[in-house]
Amino acid sequence: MKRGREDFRRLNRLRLGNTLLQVLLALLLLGALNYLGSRYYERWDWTEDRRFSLSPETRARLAQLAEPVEILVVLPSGGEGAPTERLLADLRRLLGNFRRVAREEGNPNLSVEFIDLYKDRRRAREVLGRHGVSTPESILVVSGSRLRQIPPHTLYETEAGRIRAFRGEAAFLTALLEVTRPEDEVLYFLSGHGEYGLESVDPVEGLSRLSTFLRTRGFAVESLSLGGRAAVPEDAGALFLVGPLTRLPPRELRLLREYLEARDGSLLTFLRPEGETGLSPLFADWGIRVGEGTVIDRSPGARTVAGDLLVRAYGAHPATRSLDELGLTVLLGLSRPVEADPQLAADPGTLKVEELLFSSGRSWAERDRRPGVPLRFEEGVDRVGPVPLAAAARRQSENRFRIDLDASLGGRLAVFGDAGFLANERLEAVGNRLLVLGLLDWALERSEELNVPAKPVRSYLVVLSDEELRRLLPMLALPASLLTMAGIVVALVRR
Amino acid sequence: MRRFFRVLAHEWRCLWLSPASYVAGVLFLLLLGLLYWAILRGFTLLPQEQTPATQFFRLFWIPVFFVVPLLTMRGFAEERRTGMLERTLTTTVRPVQLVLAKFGAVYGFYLLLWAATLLFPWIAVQGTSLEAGRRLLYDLPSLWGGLLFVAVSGLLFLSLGLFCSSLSRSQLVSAILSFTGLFLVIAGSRLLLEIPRVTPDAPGGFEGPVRYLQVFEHLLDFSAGIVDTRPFLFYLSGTVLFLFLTTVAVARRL
Repeated sequence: MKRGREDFRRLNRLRLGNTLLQVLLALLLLGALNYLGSRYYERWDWTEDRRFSLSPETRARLAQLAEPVEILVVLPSGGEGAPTERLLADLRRLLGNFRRVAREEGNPNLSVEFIDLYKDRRRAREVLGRHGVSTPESILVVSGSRLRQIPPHTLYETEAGRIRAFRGEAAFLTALLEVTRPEDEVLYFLSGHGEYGLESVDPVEGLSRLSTFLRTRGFAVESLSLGGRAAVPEDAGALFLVGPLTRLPPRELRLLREYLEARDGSLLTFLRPEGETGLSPLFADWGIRVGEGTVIDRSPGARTVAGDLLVRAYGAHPATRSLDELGLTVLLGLSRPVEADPQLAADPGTLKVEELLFSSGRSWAERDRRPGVPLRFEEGVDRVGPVPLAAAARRQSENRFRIDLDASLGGRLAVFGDAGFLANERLEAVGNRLLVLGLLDWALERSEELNVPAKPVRSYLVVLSDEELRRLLPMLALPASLLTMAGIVVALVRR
Repeated sequence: MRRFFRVLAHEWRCLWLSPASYVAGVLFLLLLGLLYWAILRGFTLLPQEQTPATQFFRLFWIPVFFVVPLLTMRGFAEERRTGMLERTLTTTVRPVQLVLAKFGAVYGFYLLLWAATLLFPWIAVQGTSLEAGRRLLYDLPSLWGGLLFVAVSGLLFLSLGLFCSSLSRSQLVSAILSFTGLFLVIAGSRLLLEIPRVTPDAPGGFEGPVRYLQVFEHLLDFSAGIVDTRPFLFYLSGTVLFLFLTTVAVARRL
């Protein structure tokens, strides 16, 4: 009897052990399955406009990423309702897609890390310290010693204070391209035609502040004379022609044309209010016309005490986008009108020409500006405002929007009717500095003018009267009422 | 297999004869009707960035917390109390068949309840001048995505409820256990995110696995029209685990 009880106990223990083992094995199996599933997965975007998918260009670029790139997002989480909640949600979705696409393409060079500024202070401090970043809320794209910081506010397009679109994909792609660029490009300032001096400290015609400003931001800046050269140097990222006084010789003009057209280079030209440079035919080929006269603006608040022109109207161009969004002012000296006229070009179909800056509606382009003669708008003679003050053109090769990454992206030319806004006396203005950076981003293809559209943020509103809303409430109780009736019928039948 | 379908039909009939099912169903539809109305009201006051369907399914957890315990608490607890379970297990029905039949019945009922909520946009369009807003209310990616989410996550929630029911003879204890379990799965994973990472030096730390468990993020993806294999695996494997544990718990009654 006692032995039988012992056997029974042993059998019971055996069964319990067997059950526990089964549970353990099931847990292990499902754990392993989930681990594998979290690493190898598929994702489908069912939305009509594929709102949550990466563009083909981004996919192609991620596949070709040749150097290790780290994306570090240092932001406070704060949970639901926190100011960064939306940004974090958008970034997680976007960078999750980046990571997944890179993995799908077999490219191990991309890593993404989200660091909570408050909960993970040690890591945040270490990352920000290592890269010498002083802004606590930072989004960093790092490759080797190169760093690109993406200001969070630039990730959204806004209109009248409301978010219209998320342009994170283009911003991150631009940063990725920048930090993996094979070698640093040099910004050459042309000389030999009476241009503003690159290292000159002269307040009116000196660019020493600009050269320091650019160098401290990691750009290599050098002066260049085209005389005696067979071509523009290979490492030229962009050419600056600031305030030429005399005509450029035909040979140099040919070199500039070659650089722009055959090598898809970028030329940024800043003219004096008067004088002939011989560049008009080149500008015309790029759909830009330099008008006659000088821009006069008589509207209140359009001039500083020193007589500088205050510009607050911008075109929808990547170079001026941040100025427009932040509501900043650009300080100009005397300026010529510069307008976009694509019909001047022989092949306008491949050109994209846009005007960048405008004077106010009460301005005009004065043709007859002579000492002692009062400035007055003359109908039929002077051009009425707003007058365009700068224009930018970009040549697009035909296969631009096909995702052939080796295809030419086309050259770029920007023309400003004033050179003085780069001079030492005006470069202190925040708007002027931002315009220079915006121009460089565009000229060096760092702008978000990739084939990556911003994702629109939609908003929905329902129009219903109070009475309709009140009437709707009992109607929505209809399904519950039907089920109640079914319950009563069942109860009655059962009884 | 025929035996399984016979048990399933029996369980399905029992569910429709049980007052608890009607109480759960009516409360569920009343509450969701009210929530749908409040959501539409919000859309009349301010423009919203998500569709009504997305906002509606974001509130899935409110009905889940009471409907799942109400539907599953009876499952095994009542049968254990009355001794029916032991009697059923002495027949030719195998424990796994019994568990799957009970699960199938409550899952079918749960799906029917959610499917009934599709009437809300229809009522809103028919009963008001919202004819022009038809496209917004019937936004298919968010509607189907949300329904797919409740269908897939419901598998896990109901299997968890059924497992809790197999642990006790008391329906009340089962319901409390089920509520606690659901709270841990739905809200607990979110609370885990509040814990600072264990290994801050390792890129990503343990944030990746924790984010994998985020039920609310799964819902946001589904209702935005994104379908991902990871939540499927998570919910399906969780369901298999809880059904397996329930079967083990029931089999030990033999």
